[in-house]
This record gives sequence, structure tokens and C-alpha cells, in this order.
Amino acid sequence: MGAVESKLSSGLPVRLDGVSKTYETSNGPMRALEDVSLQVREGEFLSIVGPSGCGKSTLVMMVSGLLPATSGQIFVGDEKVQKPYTKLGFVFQQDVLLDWRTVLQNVLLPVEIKHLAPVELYRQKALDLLKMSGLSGFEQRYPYELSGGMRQRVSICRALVTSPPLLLMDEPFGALDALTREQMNSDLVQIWQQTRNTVLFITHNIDEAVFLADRVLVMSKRPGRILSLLDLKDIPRPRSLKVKDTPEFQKFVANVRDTFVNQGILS
Amino acid sequence: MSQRQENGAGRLWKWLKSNYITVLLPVIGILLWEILVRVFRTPTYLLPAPSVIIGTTLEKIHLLLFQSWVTLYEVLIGFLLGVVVAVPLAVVVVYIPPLEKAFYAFLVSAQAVPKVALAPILVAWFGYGLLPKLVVAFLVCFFPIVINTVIGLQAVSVEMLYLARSLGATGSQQFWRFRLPKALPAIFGGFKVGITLAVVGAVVGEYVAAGQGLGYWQVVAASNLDTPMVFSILVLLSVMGIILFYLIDGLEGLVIKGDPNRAQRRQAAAR
Ligand SMILES: Nc1ncnc2c1ncn2[C@@H]1O[C@H](COP(=O)(O)OP(=O)(O)OP(=O)(O)O)[C@@H](O)[C@H]1O
Ligand SMILES: [Mg+2]
Repeated sequence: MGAVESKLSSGLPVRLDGVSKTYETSNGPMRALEDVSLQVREGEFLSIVGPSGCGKSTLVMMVSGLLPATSGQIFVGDEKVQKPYTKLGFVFQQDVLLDWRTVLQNVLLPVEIKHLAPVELYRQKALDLLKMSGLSGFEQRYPYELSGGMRQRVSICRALVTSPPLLLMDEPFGALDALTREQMNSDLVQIWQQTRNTVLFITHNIDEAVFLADRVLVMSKRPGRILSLLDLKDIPRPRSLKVKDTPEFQKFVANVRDTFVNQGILS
Repeated sequence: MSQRQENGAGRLWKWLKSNYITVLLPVIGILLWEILVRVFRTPTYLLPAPSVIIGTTLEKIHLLLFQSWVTLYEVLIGFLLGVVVAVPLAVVVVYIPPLEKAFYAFLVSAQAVPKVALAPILVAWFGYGLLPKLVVAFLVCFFPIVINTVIGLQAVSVEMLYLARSLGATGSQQFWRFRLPKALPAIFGGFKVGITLAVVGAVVGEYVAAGQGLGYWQVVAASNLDTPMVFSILVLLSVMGIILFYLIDGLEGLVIKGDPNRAQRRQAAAR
């Protein structure tokens, strides 16, 4: 089983060793993240939930190398992260699309910046991704002609087009309505089941976290610590939205919620 | 071919239908002007009737066109100089933060100086040739371009820079593919203000020191109490400003794609 899994996966493992972050602010130092140690397996989908301001964004920013850790070490694969790590796809909370590029040009931006070849192959891949995301016919449109949900889907396609071994998603669906969000969840699971890269997925939505992930990381209030790490292997894959009605699914959702209630984060 | 012309006429008709007030108001204004001047027999040296102004313009069209060309030449060179100096300077200011503070301090004081009042000094320095006019045109259009370019280049969001860096974009890629395209709408805004000001600058330069150009001829006409000629030149200068403005606007449309603000304006205009 393990062997088959690692064969399927094109992801890289991520390791955090005692990672902490202190921001220097005008009011003095501010502890955002406290001693987080964690191993994410290659090809694993890890959801991260926690109250607002607990350091989730800080955590993935440090994994991406865009933000230095105050102490501790981060490894992606065998490589220690010390500068922006470029073999990853990053979906930000706000879709950062470039206004002056068409949808297709936006998706192909990483290919262009990294001078990847053959371009034709990536172009085809981009078109496939757009089609899979229900954006056929919009390839030549500009971002201002799209809805919020469509824009976010474009930025997900952009993050996926180079087949990065690691995908970081910081509340990618936060700005979407409930219906679009469910659809996007379902689409994301479909895509990931084919690509099997390692994913760190931040969300406020417990349902979403459980539905998508292999494991859910539950974080405390600031400074963020790991409260629990739930293994969801009892919820079988491949998953469809129907899985949300099963008792296993409900059990895990309740489990996460209880963790928050016990911590006084929820009441 | 005729199909195409019909289309053109159809489009014009449609445009007129939705913009009739824009067209009608000036027409009414001019008619009223004509009537009032005739009814009250206003002396021509005070306020010539529009028909007189048009007559004078047609009569002296050769002289006026040639003088327009002289002024236009000064405007364009002054403006291009402004662009060539202002845009790179803005880039330097944005990329070297210590310069930014010094730059703003300089800018505030420079803004307070009425640039056109420098014209007499420039004449003392550069004589009566082309140069003082270019310099005034350059000076007045330089500041809006520099300010807008700096603001535009700083408009790129933190997230966008994060994106650039996590894609491994080099410094020059970050500039050419992120910062500059993001700044273009603001830069073109600066160009539009700048080109209209450059016309003002060139004309003021001609007022002070020139043997030709529309500004010079306006001074000559005024001293001869040739008021229709003064008005005729005023109209030509306005037309020049408007044409230059829309040329830059058109260029902006060609260069900038997908600008949400521009699209919004276009949709509003079509309504
Ligand atoms: N650049 C910064 N400088 C100072 N403090 C910061 C900075 N960025 C974040 N913080 C602080 O660090 C804490 C964690 O921020 P972070 O953005 O990681 O939270 P988060 O868990 O992503 O919250 P949310 O769910 O609301 O996005 C917050 O209290 C925030 O105020
Ligand atoms: Mg966040």
C-alpha cells in the first residue's frame, strides 16, 4: 500500500522542526507562532484550521520561504528553505491576477517567468486545466470580465500549471458563496486525485477542511500551536460531496469543533 | 465598401443620439454668442462674433497652420523630453528608498514654484531660440509625469510581489512583468495631464521670447487690437490640446489591455 501510494504521488514531503515566528511591531515583539513541529508526507493533503490571527498564513508563508522563521527549520524534500522556494504553487487569499493579461496568459505566467519549455505543451495543459475548472470559452477574456469565483479558479489553474510538487493554498475559497465553494471543493478533490502533489490548505471552514484532507491540523489561538492532528483515512477516497452525509465525516467535523469548544475558541 | 460607410454613418448616428447634449450645448452656446454680439453691436476689438473669428481663421489659415506647427513642435519636443527624463527618474526614486524622501521634499518645493514665471529667467539664460520654450514646456509637464509614475510603480500590491518572488522572478522580470504594466494606467494619466500643460508651457515661452509661434502671434495680434486673431489662436491652441490629449488616450487604449477602470468608463460612455 505504502509503495503504491508513493508511486502515485508526485509530491514532496515537508518537515517543520520547532518553527516559531515573532513579528517585530511598533508595540514591541509579537509572538505569532509557537514551536510548531510537523511532518507532511509526500502527496499528502493537509488542511489547517484555526481561529483568525492564529498564524496560519504566517506558517505557509514561512514554508514558501517568503517569510523567514524566527527559530526552527523548514525542509521541503531534502532542501532547507532559506529563500523563496520556487518549486511550489501558491494560491493566495486574494486571487492575485494580472489585470493586463488574459485568463490564459495569467495561467501561463509561471511558465513564462521560469522559461519552461516546450511552451506548446504547457499551453495545452493550461487549456485542459481551464476546461476542468469550467472556464472554457474564457481563455481570451481579461480578469475584470470574471466573477470572484472564476478569478480564484484562474489563480488555482496558475498554481497547478507547472505541476508543482507542493501546493500552498491560503483560504482560497474564503471570498466565495457557499454554493460555488462546494463546487470548488469537489473540483479541487478531483484535480488533486490526479496530481497527488503535497497540499497545505488553510481554511476557516471545518467542513471544507475535513472533506478535502488526509489530515487536519487544528491550531490554537495566538500564538499558534498545534492542538491536534486528525487522521482522516477512515473517510475513503475517491470522495464526492456525498461523503459529507456519512457518519464518519460527521464524526470528524464534530471532533474538530469539540477541540475548539474545549479551548474556549468556540462556545 | 458602401456597407462599411453605412456602418460608419450608422455608428455616428447612434453616437449622436446618445451624446446629443454634448454636441448641442456648445452649438447653442456659439449661436447665442453670435446673436448677442450682433444685437448689442459689441465692438469687434472687445468680443468678435464667432462668424468673424471663423472668417479670420480661414483668411489667415496658411500663417496660422505654419505657426501651429512651430508651437506643436515645441510642445512635442518638450513633452518627449519630459517623458524621457521623468519616467526613468521615477524608476530610480522608487528603487532607491532613501532617494524617495529627498525627492518628495524637492517635489513639494518645486511644485510651489510657478514654472511659467521662470520663463524670463530662461530667456536670460538660453536666449530667444527654441530652447527656452522647450525648457518651459518640459518643466511644466515633467512634474505630473514623475509623480504619476512614482505612484503607479508603487501601486503593485504586496501579494503580487509575493507571487513574483515565489515564481522566482528576477529583479528585471519583477519590473517589466509586474511593476511597469501595473503602473501604466497611472503613467498614461500623467502623460495626459503633461501634454496639456506642455501646450501652456510652450505658449508662455513664446509670449516672453519669440519671433514666431502661436503665442508670439497672439501677443502681436493683441497689441494691434486684432481681437479676432487673438480668439482664432485661442481656438487653435485648444484644438491642439484636445487632439494631443486624445492621441495619448488612443495610444493608451492600444498599449494597455484589460484595465478595469478603462473598461468601466467605456461601458458608461456606451450607455
Ligand atoms: N507583517 C506583520 N507584522 C506584524 N504582525 C503580523 C504581520 N503579519 C501578521 N501579523 C500578526 O501575526 C498574527 C498571525 O497572523 P496570520 O496572518 O498568520 O494569521 P492567520 O491565522 O492567517 O489569520 P486569518 O485566518 O485571519 O487570515 C496576527 O495576530 C497578526 O496580527
Ligand atoms: Mg491568513
